[in-house]
Amino acid sequence: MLLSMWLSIATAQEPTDPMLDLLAAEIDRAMTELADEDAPPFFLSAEVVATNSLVVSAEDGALHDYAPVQRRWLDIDVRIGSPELDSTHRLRSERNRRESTGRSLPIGEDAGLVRRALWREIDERYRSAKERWSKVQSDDAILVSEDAGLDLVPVEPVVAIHDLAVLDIDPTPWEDRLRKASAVLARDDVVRDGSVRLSGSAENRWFVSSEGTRLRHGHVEYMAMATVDTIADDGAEIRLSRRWMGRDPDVLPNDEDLASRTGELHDLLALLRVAPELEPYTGPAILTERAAGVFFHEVFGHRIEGYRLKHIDNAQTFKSKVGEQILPEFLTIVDDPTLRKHRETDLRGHYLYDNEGVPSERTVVVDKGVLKGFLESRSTSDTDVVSNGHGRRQSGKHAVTRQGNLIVTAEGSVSNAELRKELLSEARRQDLDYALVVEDIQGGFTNTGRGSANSFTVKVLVARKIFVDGRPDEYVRGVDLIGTPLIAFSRIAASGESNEVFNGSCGAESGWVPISQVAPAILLNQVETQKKAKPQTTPPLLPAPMAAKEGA
Amino acid sequence: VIWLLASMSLASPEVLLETFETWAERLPQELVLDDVRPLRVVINAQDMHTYTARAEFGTLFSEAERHSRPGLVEVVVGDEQIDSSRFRNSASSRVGDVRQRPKFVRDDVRVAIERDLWITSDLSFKNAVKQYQVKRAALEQLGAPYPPDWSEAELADSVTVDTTEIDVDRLRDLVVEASAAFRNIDGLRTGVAEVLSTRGHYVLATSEGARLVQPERTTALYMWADLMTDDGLQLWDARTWLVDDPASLDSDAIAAAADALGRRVVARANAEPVDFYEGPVVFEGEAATGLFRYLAAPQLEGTPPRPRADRSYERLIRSGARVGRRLLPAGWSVIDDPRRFPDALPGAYEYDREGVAARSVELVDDGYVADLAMSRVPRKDLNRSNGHARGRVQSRWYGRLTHWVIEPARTASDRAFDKTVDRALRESGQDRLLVVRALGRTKPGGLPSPIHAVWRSVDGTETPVQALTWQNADRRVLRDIIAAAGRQSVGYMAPDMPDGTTGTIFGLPTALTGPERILVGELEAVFPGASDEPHVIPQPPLTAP
Repeated sequence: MLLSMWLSIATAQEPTDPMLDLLAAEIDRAMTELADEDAPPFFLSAEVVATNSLVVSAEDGALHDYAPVQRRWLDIDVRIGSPELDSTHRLRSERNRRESTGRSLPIGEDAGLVRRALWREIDERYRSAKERWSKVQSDDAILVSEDAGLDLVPVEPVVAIHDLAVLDIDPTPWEDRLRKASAVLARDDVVRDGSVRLSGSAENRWFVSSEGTRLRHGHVEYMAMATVDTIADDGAEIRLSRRWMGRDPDVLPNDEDLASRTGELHDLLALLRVAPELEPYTGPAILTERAAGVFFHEVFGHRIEGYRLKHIDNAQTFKSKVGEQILPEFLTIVDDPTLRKHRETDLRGHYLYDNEGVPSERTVVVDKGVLKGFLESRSTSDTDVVSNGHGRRQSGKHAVTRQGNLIVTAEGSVSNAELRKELLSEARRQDLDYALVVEDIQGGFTNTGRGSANSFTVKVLVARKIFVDGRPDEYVRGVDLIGTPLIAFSRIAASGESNEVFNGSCGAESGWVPISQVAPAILLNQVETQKKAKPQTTPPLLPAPMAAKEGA
Repeated sequence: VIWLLASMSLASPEVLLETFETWAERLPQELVLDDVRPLRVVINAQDMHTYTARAEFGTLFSEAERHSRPGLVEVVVGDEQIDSSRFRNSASSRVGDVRQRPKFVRDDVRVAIERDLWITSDLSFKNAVKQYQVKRAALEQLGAPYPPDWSEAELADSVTVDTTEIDVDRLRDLVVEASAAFRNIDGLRTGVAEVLSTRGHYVLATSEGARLVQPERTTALYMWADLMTDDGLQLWDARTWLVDDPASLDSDAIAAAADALGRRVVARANAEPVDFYEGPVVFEGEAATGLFRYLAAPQLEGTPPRPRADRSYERLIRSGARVGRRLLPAGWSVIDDPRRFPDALPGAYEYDREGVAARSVELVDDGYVADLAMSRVPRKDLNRSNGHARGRVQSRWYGRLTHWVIEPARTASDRAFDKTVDRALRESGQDRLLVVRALGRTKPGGLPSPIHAVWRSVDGTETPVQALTWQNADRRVLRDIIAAAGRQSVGYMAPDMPDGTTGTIFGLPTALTGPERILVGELEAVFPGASDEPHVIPQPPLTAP
């Protein structure tokens, strides 16, 4: 019988789904078969992720090859032990659980073959869990434990079947659109490497657990992106990009918009290529909205992910500070994956259920500067908390606590013009010639462990010097923001009244997951910058081949 | 939603060739860095339409179709003795890659191709200047005698265009139908058929004047099935079909072969395990080919390894192929001729990756290695290419076998062969003979375990061998060949790199013509034991629950 036929029946009648039935039947069979083993599992879940995606790209006015990709992936979680301590517990000897698991499922419709793959993976994961369980028990017996929280906190089973996500875009008209927009890149020698591309992805998930959870949900995403990169005379690499992203193809730019925005990116790259490199700087700075979003994600967000706080090798910056003032009173921070949009902008970090089958929840982390709690997966940071639906992972990885939509709001904000005035006042107060405005960032990273400095780096793409004597602003390049979290938070002095969305991807122990941040611009009365690493490649020896100018 | 792409038919390779030619000519004139100029420039690409599909138990598992243009740009500096082209840096010495690997655009837009060449040739040249300095310093310090890096050769000036296209629908149906044959066989854990079909051109231009467009096309179908016994023994069997034209693949014959293959695996699960065998072994069919492709091929491929910063060159080359080595029994000979392949087998070419005309080479004479398959990288004893440089476009190229023909000193009649086998068996004291019909896969130089073998009793009855693995089987086994009978041509995918594991559907299409049956005087084989823990949960049937 064809899977697609089952699905159409499922949506029309009572809430059932053949894939869910198949997963549930095989989980039941496995739990029954394994019940008499020496170490029977107490929990088993299966997640199938079906992805239908497409990437079309062009450079210098010509199309690259492309092909649609269809794949289905199966992840199995088998646990031996008890909710308090189980076979997934992190071993002292391992820094992080990084091993990849899971297997591909056929793209063709064959319930018997899917069942066979389920059996193989459950059997393999069970044998692996059994071996691991003996190591966990050994660790538990001989090592001092500082871990807190449960390994699998109980949850209410959820049953929900949502509509399947469908990718609905015809790439054919995009071929010429991408050719035309990317032709801009070949008009001179500014862009060394660049592309303009369209991507689309529909992802559907089926999740079943031995506790009774049965979920089917999906989402679709479309993205257009222009990327340009060049090498400055001093060997610094400069890369800029512009994205359009959302759940509806209507968010994508038309021919004219794509070409003109790609042209703008080219022009900004030309400016930055000749901009001076910023010498290491300490002083006040404004992080504009998107930059502030990344700052909060890296510096704050990763430190309120409950899973990290369980482990003795984590710095546990905020673990004992619940109820304490950790940020200025005017700041409130929530992580709310239930939010689909911020104003008109789709949020990438939206999801209905996490990868452990738990409904996502709006979680207040900081209220008026006071720490209220942490983001939690089913492996909790403490014994008296429950999951708030933040257990996330990339297919093939183990779910851990991750951020979704991190929303920073501020009371008593000022206009961005007023914020700039405050920045200049602060620069004068510190007897500086200029202050810094960080306009765009590439991303960042942070270290939350104890083994080395608990620092962060925010990688800046576009920054300007604002001079106290009224000279015109000056673009600078080659700068990264660095610091340590507690000091950085203590330097937040004010915030702007508007906010913006940063949609991106975050890579950590459980792989890459889509995330969003919404934040206002913030004024920090002191930041520290360092020079960005550069490959020292000299500009090309030969002149760039260029497209013939129109009419020439 | 599955889209139909606008067109997968290939664009003309001529724009690529014209652009490559222009740049191969101008780069040595225009690239200058501290008075250093390029010694030579190599630019190439494979302009290919590729289709892969995999089906399991009659259901499509995955498929992909694309038109791609992977390329290679290498700017070499130095002189006729030592150049920047071949060197392995020590881990502490950071030199960027001297071989740049662009992916050229699909459209024939000259400026887009040129901008890829602009950046990649620039990086290759700058890295080559650095690598040349590092290499010279390292070789001077080691003080090792070292043959030149490169040899003169006459180069191609040839453009041949092939416009045939891949019949994707037929290939998809073929793997689905072939793997469906496994579905009717109880007990199998996996039953897979996968196919790779490529059509396109190799495009090359060099500053030395090579100018080449040459069609390349291959279709490989690989089929395998496995199961795990209750005590954790993993048993599998496989078969490959390699053809120039996929229309020649007979779907009924393939389905029948799949059925037979699957049933053999199941029969092995019930076969009696044997701990140890030491005696004569007959290799038949694919296994007779396998004996040579695994044990003899590495001894006939002559491109020397790259010099290294931390090891003397003498030490590096001493374990490789060597002219004068006794490889086969007296009277045996081997030739290799890339231009002539047996009917229906793919892989024949007029010019190799370096643009050198392929020629026939007598590799073994009277059992001794007389010559080697060579690229333009010389050895002390062989300083000319014979047109055997092969490899993936973006990888390194080595002198490799293509279509090799093995001639025994004497080809016995089937009856005479059987009599020799009977005598060998009697002398060994064994009461049954090990007959191997297919080998698994391993790296060249080792002999893979049998995946299809039988015990043949004196009365001629055959029972399946469950599992055996060889003990101490290396190239010296070939000297112990007692008899050969029949003649066959078999195609196979050789690994892309000489030391790589043999591919299934990926690799270099290669053909071997040689005896159909080989008797080796004595080999030792043992039971391999379980490779994994047995399954805990019973295997479900291939039906919906």
